[in-house]
Amino acid sequence: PTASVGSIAARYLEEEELRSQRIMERINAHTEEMKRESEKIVRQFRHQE
Amino acid sequence: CDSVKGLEEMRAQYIKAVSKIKCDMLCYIRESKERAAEMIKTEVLRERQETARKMRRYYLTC
Repeated sequence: PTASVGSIAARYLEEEELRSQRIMERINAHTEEMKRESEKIVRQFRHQE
Repeated sequence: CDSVKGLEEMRAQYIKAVSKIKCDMLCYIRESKERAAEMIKTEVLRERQETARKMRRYYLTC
């Protein structure tokens, strides 16, 4: 049973690794969106000056 | 006045991004906890059945 506990934990961590990769991608997408949108705002207000 | 408007837009953009990140993180943490709880529950159940099987075998041989 102790060996199987180890393998269960290993599988959990493996899946967790994939999940953390996915969330990193999502967070990167949010920051990229913020970069694009703030760039747009800067351009817009630079023209008005 | 225009620069204030620009600042406000920037602020809104920033808050939006941060709250999206917060939302995703909360979701991720909740799912991790649920997955761990589910795993433990399954294992305890399996172990309990295994013990019951051993007990049955033990009493049958005695």
